Amino acid sequence: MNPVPYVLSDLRSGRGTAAVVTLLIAFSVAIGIGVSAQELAVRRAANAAADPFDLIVGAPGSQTQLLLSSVYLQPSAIGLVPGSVLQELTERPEVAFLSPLGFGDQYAGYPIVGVVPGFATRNNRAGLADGRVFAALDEAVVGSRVRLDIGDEFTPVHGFLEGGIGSPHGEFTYRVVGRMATRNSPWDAAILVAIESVWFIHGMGTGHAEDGSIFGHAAAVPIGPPWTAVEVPGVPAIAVEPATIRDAYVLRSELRNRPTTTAIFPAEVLFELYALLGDASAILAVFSLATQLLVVMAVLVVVGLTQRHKRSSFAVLRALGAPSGYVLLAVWLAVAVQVVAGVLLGVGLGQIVAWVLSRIASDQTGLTVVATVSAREWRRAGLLGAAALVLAVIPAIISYRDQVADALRR
Amino acid sequence: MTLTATDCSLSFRQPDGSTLTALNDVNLEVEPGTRLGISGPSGSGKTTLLYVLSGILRPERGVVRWGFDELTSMREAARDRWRLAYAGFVFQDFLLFPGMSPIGNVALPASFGTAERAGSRGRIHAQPDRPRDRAAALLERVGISDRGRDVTSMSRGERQRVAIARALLSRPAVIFADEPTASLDRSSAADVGRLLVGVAAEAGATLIVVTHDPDLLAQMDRVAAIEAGSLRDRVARPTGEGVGR
Ligand SMILES: Nc1ncnc2c1ncn2[C@@H]1O[C@H](COP(=O)(O)OP(=O)(O)OP(=O)(O)O)[C@@H](O)[C@H]1O
Ligand SMILES: [Mg+2]
Repeated sequence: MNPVPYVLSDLRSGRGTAAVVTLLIAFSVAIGIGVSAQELAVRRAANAAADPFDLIVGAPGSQTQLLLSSVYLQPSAIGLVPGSVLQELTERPEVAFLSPLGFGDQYAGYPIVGVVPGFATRNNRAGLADGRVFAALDEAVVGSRVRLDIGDEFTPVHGFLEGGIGSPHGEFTYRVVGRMATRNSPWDAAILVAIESVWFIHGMGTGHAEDGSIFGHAAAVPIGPPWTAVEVPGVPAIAVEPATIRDAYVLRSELRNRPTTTAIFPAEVLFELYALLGDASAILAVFSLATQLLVVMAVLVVVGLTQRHKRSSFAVLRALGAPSGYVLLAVWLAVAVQVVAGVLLGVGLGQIVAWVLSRIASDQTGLTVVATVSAREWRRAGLLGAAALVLAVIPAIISYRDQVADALRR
Repeated sequence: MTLTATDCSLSFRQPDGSTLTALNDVNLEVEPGTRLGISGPSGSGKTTLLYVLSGILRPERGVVRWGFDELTSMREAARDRWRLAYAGFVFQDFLLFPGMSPIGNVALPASFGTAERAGSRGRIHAQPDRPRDRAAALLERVGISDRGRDVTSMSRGERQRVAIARALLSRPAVIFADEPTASLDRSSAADVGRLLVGVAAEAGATLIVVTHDPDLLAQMDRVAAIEAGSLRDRVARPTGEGVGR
């Protein structure tokens, strides 16, 4: 018994319908795969971007907002941590390394962040891609995606909005002296400068004791800690690398309970965020499942309709002596071919959907989102395919039980 | 082998709940190699009789025998095997499979499975030629030379020729044809009728043809008339008028 020749001719003569069924299945699989691969990829990227930040100290307020504006450089107005805290933390033995994060200015849409030189090299753990670290008030290091070359000069603009409300900061210009290695985070689109320059531009001094007229001798201002001014200016956030894990918890619980500060572990806040988003992703999953069920039903309806159409063909097969098992197998095989083709095509399309979604997510978040179709997605597609193959038995059994003489009468 | 029907009756339940007697105590005996014509008015039970004789339908009462084998007591699967091994079918509307070449259509029954004939002298196995080669030879015999194109693009006469070739693939001992020329124009009807009778004679097969076609009936050894499910065997052969309205 070999229904393959019949199945082939059947698919050929109904190729329009077969193509529609195959595409329906492919789209449903692709959407399911794309969305699920994407979700995983965004989490992975977000985790990776948060990885270098052990502890963030900020002004009291929303932890989520602190996370978003410091780790992910999302523009938002947050309060300042007093300079005294910065000074104090510099001297604490629990702190291995720290950097203020002075954001608020931008150039051409790239956020300008005031930090210490070590921040650009992740405290000497990562080299620069090119050039050197800033060593003077008017020098800058750019992220890997910033469209500025070494030697370029630019004037910072106050405020977050590109070409928006912000006004240029007088005649102050930075000169690019280095480029960071890719970090796969929004920091790839950031410009790092000395925190002293940010303070200076905003008329807050430089944080160092030997304040004075520094126009024309920017090189004279010391860069980096210790900040010795009587009143060190405040900063929006401080990234802290604690000496030990124990120190991390000590610092966090202490700074969290002060009236002027709060402290977060980014990884922990992310985890809470995911838990919150979990409900949303569950809803998404339900929708995605519902779509797939609808598609399966649509496929069954299409198959059922064409099956009615093919009744007389099956009856002719029977009249010519084909066993009923032949008809059963032929119907099932025809559906199976479409299902398997649809699933395979869908996994391929799913890669494309995941890739497109990744590009969108990367553009919108600055994260490097790389969605790959993993074993989990293959398993899902396989399950859907298997379910369809089982359901395909229904039309097969209906055709199989059909009365030949009835079907031949038209 | 002789095909016999003894006291066969079959009725159908109609949509309005009444029952309609499609076959009423039909008795028939068809000796090997006989050409039997069956004619009768529309709705008289001609097609039903063919289905009963070929094991597609089982009568409510009565027995159909093929030699000593009792078709009416076989299970459906066994009747399918019997049809595959011994019977060929030609329909009024050809009922070829679209999306397939003539050669694919003709060779298709070879894919249904191994046809086992009773006894060891199975004719299918005796000639181990490939189905496609045999299909090609049959197409040549029925005068179809272009074997590659899709059957849906062929003329009605050509399609019926392909259908006749298909019915012959398994070297059937009996060929059933249900109004094989009714949907053809006069000249192709004459051609196809002559062809059908010719190939059946060459194969030594029994030929049972339902038809109103006087030309075709004239080529039969014997004609039976059916009216309201009752069969009258051995009626006068038509002379061109009076049979089949
Ligand atoms: N499956 C069925 N269900 C109900 N009634 C049926 C069925 N098959 C046949 N009949 C009825 O039985 C009668 C005989 O039908 P059949 O098809 O054998 O007639 P026929 O002689 O072949 O007619 P025609 O010349 O129109 O083909 C008709 O009245 C038909 O309506
Ligand atoms: Mg009929």
